[in-house]
Amino acid sequence: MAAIVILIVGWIVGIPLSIRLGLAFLVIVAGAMVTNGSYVLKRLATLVPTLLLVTLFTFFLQTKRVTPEVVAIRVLGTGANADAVDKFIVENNLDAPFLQQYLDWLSGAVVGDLGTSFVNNISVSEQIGEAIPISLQLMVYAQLLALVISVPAGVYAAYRASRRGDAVVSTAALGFLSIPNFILATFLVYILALWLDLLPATSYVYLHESVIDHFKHMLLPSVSLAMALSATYMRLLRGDMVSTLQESFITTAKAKGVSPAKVLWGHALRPSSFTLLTVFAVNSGVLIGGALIIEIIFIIPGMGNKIVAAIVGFDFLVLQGAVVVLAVGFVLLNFLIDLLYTALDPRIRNVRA
Amino acid sequence: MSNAEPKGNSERLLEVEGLSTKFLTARGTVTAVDNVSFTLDRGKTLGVVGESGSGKTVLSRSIMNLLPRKNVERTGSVRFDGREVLNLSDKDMRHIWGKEMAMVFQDPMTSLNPVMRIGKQITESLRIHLGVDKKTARQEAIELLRSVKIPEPEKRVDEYPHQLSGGMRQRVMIAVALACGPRMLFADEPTTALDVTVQAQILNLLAEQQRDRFMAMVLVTHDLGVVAGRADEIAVMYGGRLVEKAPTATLFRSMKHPYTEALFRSIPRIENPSHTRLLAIGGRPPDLVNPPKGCAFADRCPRVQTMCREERPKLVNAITAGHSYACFYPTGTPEGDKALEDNIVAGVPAALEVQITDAPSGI
Amino acid sequence: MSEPDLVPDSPVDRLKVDGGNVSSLAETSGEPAAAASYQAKKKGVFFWLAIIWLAIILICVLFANFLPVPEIDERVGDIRQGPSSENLLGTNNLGRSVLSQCIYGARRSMGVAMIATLGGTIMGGTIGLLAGFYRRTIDTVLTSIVNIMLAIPGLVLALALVGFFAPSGGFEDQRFLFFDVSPATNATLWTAIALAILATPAIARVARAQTLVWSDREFVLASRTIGTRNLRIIVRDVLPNVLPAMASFALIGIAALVVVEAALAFFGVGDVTGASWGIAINNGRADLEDYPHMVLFPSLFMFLTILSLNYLADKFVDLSDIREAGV
Repeated sequence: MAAIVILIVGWIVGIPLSIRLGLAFLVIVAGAMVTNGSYVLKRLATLVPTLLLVTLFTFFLQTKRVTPEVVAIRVLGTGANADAVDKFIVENNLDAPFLQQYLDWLSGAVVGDLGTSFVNNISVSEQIGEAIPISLQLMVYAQLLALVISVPAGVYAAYRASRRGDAVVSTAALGFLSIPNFILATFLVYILALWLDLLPATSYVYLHESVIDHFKHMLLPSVSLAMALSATYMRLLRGDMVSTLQESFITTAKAKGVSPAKVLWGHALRPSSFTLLTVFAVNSGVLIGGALIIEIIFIIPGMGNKIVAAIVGFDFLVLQGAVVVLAVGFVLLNFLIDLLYTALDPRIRNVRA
Repeated sequence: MSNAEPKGNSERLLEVEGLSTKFLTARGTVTAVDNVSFTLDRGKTLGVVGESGSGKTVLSRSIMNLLPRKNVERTGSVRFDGREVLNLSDKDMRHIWGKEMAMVFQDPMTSLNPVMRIGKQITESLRIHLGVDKKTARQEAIELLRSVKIPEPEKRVDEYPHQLSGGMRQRVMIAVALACGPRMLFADEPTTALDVTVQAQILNLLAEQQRDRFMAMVLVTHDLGVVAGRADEIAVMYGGRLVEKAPTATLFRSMKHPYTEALFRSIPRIENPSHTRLLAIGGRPPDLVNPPKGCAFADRCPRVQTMCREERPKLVNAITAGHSYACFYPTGTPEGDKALEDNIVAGVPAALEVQITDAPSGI
Repeated sequence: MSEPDLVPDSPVDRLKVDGGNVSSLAETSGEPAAAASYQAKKKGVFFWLAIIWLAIILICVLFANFLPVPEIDERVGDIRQGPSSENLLGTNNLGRSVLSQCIYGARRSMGVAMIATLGGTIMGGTIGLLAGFYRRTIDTVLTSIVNIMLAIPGLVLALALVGFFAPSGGFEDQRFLFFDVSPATNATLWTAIALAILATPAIARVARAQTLVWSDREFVLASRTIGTRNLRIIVRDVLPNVLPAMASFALIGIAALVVVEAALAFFGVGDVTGASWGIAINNGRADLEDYPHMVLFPSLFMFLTILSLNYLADKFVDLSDIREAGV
């Protein structure tokens, strides 16, 4: 909880995001260390090799993809003369052996220097620092929306399992699950933006510029992402909840005179939410960099847009930086899920303690 | 409650009349409880005994109205404190559940919510039915835990079920059931899932609480030994029907039904020499989808005669008051003894089993 | 998935299984188990509709050239015409038949997705079986590799892989393994390979989880005790039991890869000259406001295909009583 406070207070006070995230993480880890040190250390130990291999893998994919000349020509333009190409290759050390290039990059990365883009000469950290908050916003909106839709729908469907209400909700979920987000986005834009002219079709407005415009611009992208997510969550929750409702402690609750609503929300929801929680958390990581198409369609300058631009433009230091940040986020998220589990399920808490 | 002035006999708490429960399934209609009648006075205990699948669990749930509504058909009458409750909706039942009638379930591992603190599970019904505020409810919970003899109740109240042993959990379950001071308690195999050493403690606790609170109790079990010293009256169920019912002492003195007898023989007894063979009841419980035309126990009965397979025996009264049974050839009657002898001569397997085990102990 | 799994036939049996506890939030376990499981076994109309739609798509994939529709690059009329009797689904920005784009697009979109899923299933299945069966070091190593691939968002990995594998541009025939193929085909085939790699870790996870469960069963231990070779145990005892879960997952895999394949077209990665649903949708977006049919019909093809695949995967789980252990 303290971590969330740091995130929010930091945001208001205006501390850079990377510092805020770092602080928040330190608080969480410190909290976990107090209760269960060895477990936390063990998990942190796996982080390092994972990151090394992930970066090595992406570095390999990027640098071995094309010859340095192709990169140089792509960056400098097709009209570039041979001297300029050679100069570019030497300046950016593109002709060095693969491993040496990687180690050069790594030695910078461990001290926080992710390099400078040789395409636009802007520091990679700076570019990512600008893009991440935007992607985070999109992720948070989409996830909140998905939860707001899926939790009541899932609870209701489980309550009416194998009856008409369940059939309607489950069929709708299957339908939304089957609409790719870019198709949904395209038609939402067509209907709500182009046809009815209710919402803007593209671009991004910062929260501090105009709160209303910000949400107007983020609504369609968030909905496009949220529908398939909410279908997934609803199905997971329904499945787990149907089996929870077969448990005898539900009968106990009923025999106490607890109302159906309280049985569902008070007794059944929490023990049914573990799978949902896992998938939710994993998605949080994936969505930060994985909402590529949505960011492209709506022209939102987030991580997805950066990544696509970097891949298409051979700007591989930017890609490398983005992948590192995402991979760190992914591993840390998995770690946080475990901590959250212990909060939700007291049984785990005591096994570890 | 609207029934401030209970009608009829004020001693009577529960009157069950011709109760039947049918499940409609794809395979056909399953008659899990078939025309069961009994009465229970305030503060008294009825032991319902039968093996798995005899319908005893469904019986207690039918009375308490805890079965699903869809594809379940219940007929007959259940009067609780003079009020008909069989056809009450869940909404109306909610005023009775927990407050008037409560239930202790078989397996305390699964019948307590694993992710909810014990205190909350106990106080939940207090808060619903009596509108007690949080702080008072917590005090009540601690008192309840103390009364079911849980050590350090102030500490336990904030713990989760998995932190307690099986026996402790069942005590918590009892505390949950007792919270609102119900007048009627159903205990559905309350000790089956527990360690043998804990069973007696739990049963004694139930008996003690029942006495202190003047509750009526239906104690459901498969073990005749469990109800022997604790029930005022015993009802034996087989294949969804009552086959024998009597005050406890009477039943043990002169049991009439061969099934009761078979259950009795399957209890290990201390006075017997060790290595005495216990009599298992051969065969399986009857198919409830296509019940046999005659007596449900016929296929496993040592006294079975042609008539038993043709006609269903009705519950008839014995000479002793309050004793009734459903058998054409009851134990301890000339007809019954003759039937057994005939079957031994004819080599009916169930009868031979009885002969072999009877020989050394010489009942 | 749904409650009918593992529920015995009569409610009386079920009482025993539940330890005498009938679930009884009345509206919840509405019908007795037997009736529920009975219903779940029925296939129903939607099952057959899904099968028919996928059969149509499969025919498009295999026999697009023989169908009575205009060639893929044939100009059939004015550009951007709405649906008419001549051109059922209208024409696109080059005056080509949208119907043809959809049918030939099926070949590319579904073809790539199916080949990739097959490849991913073979690779992922092998990894999962080996990791789950041998455990210890092999499991640790393989699981780490899988986790690393899963740590990169799917589409990012897809872009990186396709960018790495698929040769860009050119007009002359290129070598693909031992064959000379057009640049477009070459790029498409390499895209399939990239997507197969993308699908591998997810399938490996499913296979591993299932293998862990099955290789602990008595019949596998029995085989071990009589000295059967490990490979034989894996193939004869474990694989047949792991296969149903993998098959169901493969259906979802195809659906997911159809989407990824279409997404690549949005980024202009891989071959963007041929016909695929993604290319058709992306091309139509520019004229969305005035000519929505160019986006609508390929989208509909995609949606129905994905819906059918997802629905069948669901049904498959219901019908074969798979419990998706640890997925």
